[in-house]
Amino acid sequence: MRGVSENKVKQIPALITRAFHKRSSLALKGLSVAGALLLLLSGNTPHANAQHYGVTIVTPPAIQFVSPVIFFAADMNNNGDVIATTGNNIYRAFGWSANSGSVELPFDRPFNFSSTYGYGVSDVGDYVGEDGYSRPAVYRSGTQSNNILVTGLIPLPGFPGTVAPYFGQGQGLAVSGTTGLVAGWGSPVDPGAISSSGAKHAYAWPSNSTFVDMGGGPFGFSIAYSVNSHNNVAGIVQTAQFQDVNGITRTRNNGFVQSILDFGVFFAASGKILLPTLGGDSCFVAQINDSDLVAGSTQTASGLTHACLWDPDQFLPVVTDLTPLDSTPSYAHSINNGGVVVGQRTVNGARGFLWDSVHGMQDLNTMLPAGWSCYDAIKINDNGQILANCVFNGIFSVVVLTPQPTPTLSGLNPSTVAGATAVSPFTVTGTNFTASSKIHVHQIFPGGTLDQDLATTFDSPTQLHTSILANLLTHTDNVAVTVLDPVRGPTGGLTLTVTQGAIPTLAGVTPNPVPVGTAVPKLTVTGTNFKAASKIHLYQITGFNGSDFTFINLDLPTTYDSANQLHTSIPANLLSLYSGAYITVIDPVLGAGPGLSLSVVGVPKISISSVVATRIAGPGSSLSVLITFANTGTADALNATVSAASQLKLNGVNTTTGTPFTIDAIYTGQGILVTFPGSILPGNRVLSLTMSYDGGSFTASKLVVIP
Amino acid sequence: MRAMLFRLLKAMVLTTLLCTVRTAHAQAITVDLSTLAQGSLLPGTVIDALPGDSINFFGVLTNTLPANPSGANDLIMDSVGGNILGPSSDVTLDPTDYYTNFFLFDPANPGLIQAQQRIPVSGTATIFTVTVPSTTAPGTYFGTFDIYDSNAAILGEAPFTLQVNAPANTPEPSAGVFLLCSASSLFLVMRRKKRAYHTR
Repeated sequence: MRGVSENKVKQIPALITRAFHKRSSLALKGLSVAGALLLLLSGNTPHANAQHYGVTIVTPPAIQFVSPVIFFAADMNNNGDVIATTGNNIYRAFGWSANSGSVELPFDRPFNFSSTYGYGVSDVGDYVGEDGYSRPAVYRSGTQSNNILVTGLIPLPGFPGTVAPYFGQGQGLAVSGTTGLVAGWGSPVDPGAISSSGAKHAYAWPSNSTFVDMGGGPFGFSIAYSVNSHNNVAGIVQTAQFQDVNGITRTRNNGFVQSILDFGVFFAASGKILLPTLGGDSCFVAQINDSDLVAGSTQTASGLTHACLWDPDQFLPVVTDLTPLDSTPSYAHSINNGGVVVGQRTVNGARGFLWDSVHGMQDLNTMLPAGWSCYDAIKINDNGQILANCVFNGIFSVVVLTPQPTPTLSGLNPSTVAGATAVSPFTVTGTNFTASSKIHVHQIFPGGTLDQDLATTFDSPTQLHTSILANLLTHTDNVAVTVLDPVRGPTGGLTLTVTQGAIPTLAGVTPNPVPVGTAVPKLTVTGTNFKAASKIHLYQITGFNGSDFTFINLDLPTTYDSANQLHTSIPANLLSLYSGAYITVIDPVLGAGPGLSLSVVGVPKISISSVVATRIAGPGSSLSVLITFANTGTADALNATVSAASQLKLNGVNTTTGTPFTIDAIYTGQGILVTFPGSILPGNRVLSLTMSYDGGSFTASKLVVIP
Repeated sequence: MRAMLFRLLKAMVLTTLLCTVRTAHAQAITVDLSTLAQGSLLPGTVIDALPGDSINFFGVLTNTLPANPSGANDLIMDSVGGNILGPSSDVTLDPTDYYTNFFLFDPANPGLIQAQQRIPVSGTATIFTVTVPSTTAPGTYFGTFDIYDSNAAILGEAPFTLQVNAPANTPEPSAGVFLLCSASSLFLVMRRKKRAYHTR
């Protein structure tokens, strides 16, 4: 009898019902109902939540004469070590581990072109397979606390050359995870031939000094496929031979579970258990775990092969169809001590599956990194690692899938934001984040949806942050925030509340005033509560059509600078009237806030229309110059003044800068009368006059003839 | 009463509009401006300036009227002027270079620009200078440079926009003095050590 093991704990739901129906012969029964209920409350269902897997590719070693392809991968232990066979016409068994890579197993072989095959690997480092003489072979990778205390090849006793396993993953030879117990099959009648007599018996090697013939059953045919740590062997045995209605001779094979202590003849009272089919003739046993649950496949009454799970501890052994609704074949290839089963379905093509009693059947392809697909799951160990055949970019690989810790999301900061408003930083907290994790937002709003990964910064495994741009959340519908990890999968979602925010206010419009009829390349509006979708709005009365006023009333193309600043440009044609215009900012949700006036002002355009220069008292005397203006602009320069000598120039900087003059009279808006000294020589001169007025300045110039 | 107010308002608006409709000028001469710092001034280009700057504008004048053997499309440029509108009225435009590089190129025919003629023939020449005094208030300044005929009609016009920015903070004079003193002290110490080494 054994106590409640950790592995037992992992499959409480299935075990509770079995607790009352144990069969003593397998010596495994020690679970109390109270203990089961207590453990059930713990909710411990390992690996069931491991929804996403990382991928590690298994690579074969380089071996002379052997094509470097993996012919088949057979087994993986709880350390993640793999045994497989590589080659094309010549095959070699090899071991692989993530840390050490791959190496050929040194099974005996007579020639370079002899083949060896790998079938099983135990947790203590026993690699079992078939050597080059078609014999069972065991290679121990190191001295272990085991009853076989050797390193290197271990000779298995019995009939030399009796074991001739045929090819196929998981078949032929198996090794117990912890005890080194080896099981296989062979022919007791004709040791040197492969099934030539048709008689095959399951064998087991409890140690390197003993072997056990498990018996061939009533028709002399049995094969051991798996052995657990409690000396229980699972395999198949022929149980019937009959003629069907068409007169065709058929055989029936059932699975069996048998303690190695009960070797001998099947169906004896000492406890060999037959595993039923699903109504068909055949059973294929893959693996027995330490709780005696057996995974495999069996034919249904319609002849389909379905993955199934046997529970031999029931009063009457029970078979459960794992794919009862499938109309295509499925196969269970492995079960771990947590009761999780992996295998292959052929629904919508071949694909690996993962099954447990809580979540039921799950498609492995939904749990892999992007681009990977799995078409067969070969083995699952107690850590949830899965040995599988997968495809990436059309290239087939044997891989080890390692369950990744599922990220969780526990907090958002802030958890409420104003719509169309930039938020930085936006921080999320949780667990199991990686540098590849992305903050994802999902929002459904009238007329559309938003689904976007945000540029995310990894702060720590428990914190990420990003910036939400103001133009991202322009609707006030709530946002579901998740974290997506390409390997570890998504978290659950938390709600980010998007509010309307506040109505915009204006503090300033620059430039202001602006000249009439002139384009404004950049009009900057400052204020508060601006959003990315906010628009600068121009409003101006432009006329009267006899019954109504006409308006300029439009949103200008607006650039968002910050929550306190927007800018736009105004083409000249929108400023063709000098009168008051009105600038507002339109919030995409709340509408317009209070605005500010924009003054569109007229501009004087003053040119010198004539210059009359006369010598007051004949040649060489003072020069009186009357300058008259022409104004073709849209405003008068009524207050225009000239006050400094440098603002009235003859020939500019060339000759007469600073020539002293006196202002005799200013005829507002029309002209100016000045007197220059008599030293001014006759000739052509450029006369330029600069005057300032309220809001600007003008300069007018003309070529004049000085008498 | 309400009708009267409406008529009054209507009359005011129409009066305003009539007063404010801008005269359209036939601009036969195109004035293409550029500056050293910002190159060709395409529409919408804003010229950056600081108080104390003096900005030379380069130009190319082109009489765009069709070539006409009789000379009917030749134009006489009589005078030039410029306006600058902005927060301060002390930003000024000096057109002296126009007369040097564009107007006086042929004293026999002052102001003549023939149909399809380009001045200068190649490249650009300074056409006017804008001076931003050090006391000028930062902000946007709208400027135009206009070429008039003898009837004060505009033959060509070049608008430009000047953005006078606030001057950047400069180091306190005391900081400069401190740096100078530090560097001098370091130099003297090193020189003394070097001299001591050579005299040993």
